[in-house]
Amino acid sequence: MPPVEYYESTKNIWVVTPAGRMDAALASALDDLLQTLIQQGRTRLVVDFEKVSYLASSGLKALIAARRTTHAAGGEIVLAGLSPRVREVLEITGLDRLFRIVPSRAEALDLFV
Amino acid sequence: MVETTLLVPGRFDRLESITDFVARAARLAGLNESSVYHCELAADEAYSNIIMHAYGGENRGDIQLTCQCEPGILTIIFEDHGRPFDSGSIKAPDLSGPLEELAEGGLGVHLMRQLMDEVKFDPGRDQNRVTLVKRDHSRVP
Repeated sequence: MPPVEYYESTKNIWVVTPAGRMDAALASALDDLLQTLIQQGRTRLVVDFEKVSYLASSGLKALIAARRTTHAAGGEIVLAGLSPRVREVLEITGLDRLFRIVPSRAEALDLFV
Repeated sequence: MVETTLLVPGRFDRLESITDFVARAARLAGLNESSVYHCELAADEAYSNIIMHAYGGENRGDIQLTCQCEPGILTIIFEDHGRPFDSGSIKAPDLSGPLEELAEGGLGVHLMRQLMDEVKFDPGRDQNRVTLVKRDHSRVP
């Protein structure tokens, strides 16, 4: 099973579902996938963290890079399903200001109209 | 004091064994689960920095990890023989500036400093050392 899966939801929204520990290895896979999707014009993105137990700065860098390129292309990236510990890392670094963060994937999908 | 040491090749696929080793030591020191998680994350950042910056990539040298456990205090020491690299000289990201101009560099060191009570970098010609300390403030000042 690939470390990061994705699928197209409704309205051309692409949901990315990493699973496990978001250390350097998984972050690299997430970065590759997000940049590939964005280059393909798929810039309405949800990253669902429900299955992510751990987030290191390598994961944050992948998210920052994806936010920069999606916004440059007129799209958006929304983060969903963060556990309190994963969210704490975003808050400690101040990056929670950079992203729209919602409790669940369903709420993330509702943000796109 | 209980001291445990682990010597591993500098490879990202060893990250989980590194953080597991640190988590066991943190629990042995009596830290709470939130602090255990902070120690795991900080160790991840320190180890990754050594691979990327001191060795300039994977499989270029070994990294020695030592955990010193005292009641309510965990000291984590990383030692490598890569090029002298002072992570302490890396500036923290400027979070007060425009978000679009935020640089990704320095996030790991910034995170380590936020998570731990002490973070010390000792770059050297023959050996670099990174020391991280976490205290249970309900037990020790």
